[in-house]
Amino acid sequence: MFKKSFTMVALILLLCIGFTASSEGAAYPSRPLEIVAPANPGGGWDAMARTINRALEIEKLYPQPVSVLNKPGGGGAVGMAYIHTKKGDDYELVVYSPPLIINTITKTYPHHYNTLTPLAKLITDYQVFIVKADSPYKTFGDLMAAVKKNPGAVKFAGGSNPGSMDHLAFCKVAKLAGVNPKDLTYVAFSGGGEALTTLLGGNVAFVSSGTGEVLSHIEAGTVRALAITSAERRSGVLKDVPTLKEVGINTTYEVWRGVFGPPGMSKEAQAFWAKTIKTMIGTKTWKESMAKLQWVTAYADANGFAKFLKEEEKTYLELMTDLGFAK
Amino acid sequence: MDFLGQFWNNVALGFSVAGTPFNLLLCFVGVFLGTLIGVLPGIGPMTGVALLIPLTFSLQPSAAIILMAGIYYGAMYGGSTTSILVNTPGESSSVVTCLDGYQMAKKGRAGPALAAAAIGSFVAGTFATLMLMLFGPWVAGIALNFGPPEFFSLMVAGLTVVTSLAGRSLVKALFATLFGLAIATMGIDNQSAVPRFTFGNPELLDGLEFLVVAIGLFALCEVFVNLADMKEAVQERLSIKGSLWLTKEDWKRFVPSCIRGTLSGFFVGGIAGAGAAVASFVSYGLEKKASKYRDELGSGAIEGVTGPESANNAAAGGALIHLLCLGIPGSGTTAIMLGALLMIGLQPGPLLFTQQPAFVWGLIASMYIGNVMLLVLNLPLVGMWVKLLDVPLYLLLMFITMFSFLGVYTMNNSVQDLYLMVGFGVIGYLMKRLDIPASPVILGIVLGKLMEEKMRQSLVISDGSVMIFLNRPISLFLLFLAVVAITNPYWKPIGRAIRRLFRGAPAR
Amino acid sequence: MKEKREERIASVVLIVFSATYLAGAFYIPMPVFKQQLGPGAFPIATGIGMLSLACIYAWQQFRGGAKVNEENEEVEKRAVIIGAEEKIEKKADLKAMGFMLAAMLFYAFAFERLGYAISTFVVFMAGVLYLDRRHLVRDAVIAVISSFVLYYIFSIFLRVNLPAGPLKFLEF
Repeated sequence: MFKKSFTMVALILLLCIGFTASSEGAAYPSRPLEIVAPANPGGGWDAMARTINRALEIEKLYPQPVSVLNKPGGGGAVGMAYIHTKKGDDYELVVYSPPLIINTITKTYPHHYNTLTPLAKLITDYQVFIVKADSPYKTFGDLMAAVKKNPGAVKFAGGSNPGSMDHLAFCKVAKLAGVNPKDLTYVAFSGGGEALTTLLGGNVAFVSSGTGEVLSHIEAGTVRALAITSAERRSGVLKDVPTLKEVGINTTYEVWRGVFGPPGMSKEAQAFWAKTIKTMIGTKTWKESMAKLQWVTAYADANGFAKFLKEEEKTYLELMTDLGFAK
Repeated sequence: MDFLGQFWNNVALGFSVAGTPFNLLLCFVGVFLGTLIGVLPGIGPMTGVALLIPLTFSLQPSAAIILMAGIYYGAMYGGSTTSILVNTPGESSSVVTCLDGYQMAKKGRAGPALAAAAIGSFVAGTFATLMLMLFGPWVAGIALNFGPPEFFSLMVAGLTVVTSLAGRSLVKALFATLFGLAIATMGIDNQSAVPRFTFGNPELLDGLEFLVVAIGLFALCEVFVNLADMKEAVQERLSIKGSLWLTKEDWKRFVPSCIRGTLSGFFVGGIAGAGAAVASFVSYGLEKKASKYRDELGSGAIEGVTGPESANNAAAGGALIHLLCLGIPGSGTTAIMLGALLMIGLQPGPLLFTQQPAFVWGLIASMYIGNVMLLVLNLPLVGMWVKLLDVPLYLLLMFITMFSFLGVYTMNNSVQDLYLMVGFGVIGYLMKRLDIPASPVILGIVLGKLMEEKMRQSLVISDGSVMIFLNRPISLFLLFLAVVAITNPYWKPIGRAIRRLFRGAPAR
Repeated sequence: MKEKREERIASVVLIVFSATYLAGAFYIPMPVFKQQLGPGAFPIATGIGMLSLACIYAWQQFRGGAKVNEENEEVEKRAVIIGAEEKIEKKADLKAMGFMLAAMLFYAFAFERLGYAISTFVVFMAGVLYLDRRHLVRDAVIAVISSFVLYYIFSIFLRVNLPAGPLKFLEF
């Protein structure tokens, strides 16, 4: 009896496999979609992936089920390795941000970023440089004057390794201000929250951070934002924070987030996503999410995104070579 | 007076939010699911909360956080169940519970162990909630005094717990601790971005996942050990003897250890923000020093369950203070909750209490309600869980294997983790054969990474001066505690010697 | 006496392991930034500690038999022996363990390739067939519940990503 039911199961399995094989030829998209978040839940990449997931589902832009897969590890390296096992699979997407380029340059990733298929740049966030409310540095000018006087003594913290965004954002600024970024003292913490605690506890002079993590503290007045790395002033809580240009340093630092397909994605799928993503960012669901997360849509299509990435690579390569991080 | 009036208004507001039938239902669903999730090895509160993020999109913010907090607490409760029954930690903070909980189960006292864990958790959870309600912002202010040097000293103090975990040979226990520290050095060094012991493998860049090691060393090791003596038909040994409930004697021993566990857990988790796993180890060490029955610890003493279980729940509650008052996540799980709150459109932080009183007080009220629900839910379940031990041993072993794989895989979606877990299972078996204790390895991993990181951060801040650890009062105090903890076995002989000296007793 | 030999082998293995780790620690590259304590300092200290302890252990095993006993007694007086009575005295059933180890390795290998449901079912049944085949029907039902049914509960109700393997098309 056991044997018989087993053959039955085997038969059904075979039938089904035959069935899927035949449906393979249907027009894109005919299968469920998987969005890879190369980090654990709770972080920016995961939030990005889930926001896309949500918009696609609620606005019915994708006719099949969509799910998010977390592949955490090595600052996105595991996700990178994973997506390369999905070469030519049109039903995988992955979200990335500047670490994609940074880790390509340091060779932490097992592959070069340009093997991925860029689909669109979606949003951008910026870095802020914050001090504790009772800090002697009232303006960014005060801070830079102190840094120029003795770069090593003005210690700054961030929630990530040396050579990652929190660190590099200020190095870029320091370099333009004529300070050798190698002379700066950066204290690395695991997570923006820890860096913030350290600042509030008075252990470091200032913190370089993404805006999201510190918004509530800026609003409450426990910390003061001295400058933001955007090109123009932001609205809301950040409206009083001067841009770098306003404080005399002609640069910006963008924490962009974009979506990629696996290597060798078909033209058909690329065309589908070009259209769908453009529709997605115009929907109500998307706009609601942006407002809640305080993100700013900064759309660029596949070509524009690819060009942008090249530019980014050039800037980072220069900066990181100066610092000795490039390999 | 005004403060009090305001306070009662807030409490009333909170209960009016949490007390709506829908929110009560959500709270129940949360603690129920959380208990189930916690019971499954590996699927801890972190995965549990992450699972529900999509669900919370469609809910009101207060309803969403009530659901998530329910899961968080439920999972903290549930984690101890498998530790006690089958020596398989459900999450990192219930590893310590294995030590005495499983020994109690082996003696047929699984019932009292589970009950003590549930009641201890209830008391500690309620205490932490009360602290959040009365002194939340104040506690958060103190927490800011815990900079890198204080953290480092706390870790040093924590490391002295190893003397409590040592078996026959201190050498073996110390080696096991260092082995744990060595494991903790794997991965990208976050102070210099240099990869260490990663062998070019991207999955090792983040180091070894703590639970991969713990489940290997405890759960899979148990499978191997049991298989080795399967043929001897040792089944009976797990069956229940005596009452399922705490005896009078148990109660007498329960109360002091519960108080110690709650207070130390709240200090370590709530004030210092060092997380529930560290809190549970510290509490175990404390029991070993302070309990009247310290000599029974390790062979199935109820203090070894009550202390750590109270501590990890007090710490979990304390972590919420960090989240709500500072907007700073104190643990992996609260980090996910923070992410979820941001996606709902709420900014936890210093202004949350004034800007969203209905939300905050609703959450606090639901934590009371959730704790009561958990107690009501879990005490009857004790009878059911204990029946699990009647499952034939070979099936039990298959279940342990299956859930270990399921849990470890869902943490990182990684097959490599599965191989590593099996590897640690074998290592665990060999260690057991050689009588090398496994718990110091876990202690080393839990403390090692933080200890190194905080030491190096401190030294960068102080420009290399070690005085930073001695100049700061909290840090100095913690180091003093560490010295006391290490030297205290020798006090009696030294004291006797001094007394003898003064009395001028003749030398032998 | 056999136990003694085991411990001696173990002490040598631990020395080799510690030495390897220590050597590895010396090879950790220097960071690009000057630091108070480099990435190598902590591992080197740990390695030295492990190596010394392993040597002490070996010395106890090979030479200081009497000394060990003394120390043991002293420790026993003040500390409790965790898991002491649990120490495995009997000769282990190596065949059963070897089987289980093989089953686990296969499980890890097949987990993504065959998917959670199929691999769990196969491993569960293999375990049952090897360990105790008196209640095959009951155990087969349990195996189906813990593999296929559990898979559906997880992936559909809880939306946990469990690998589907060849069953991918059945997903929704």
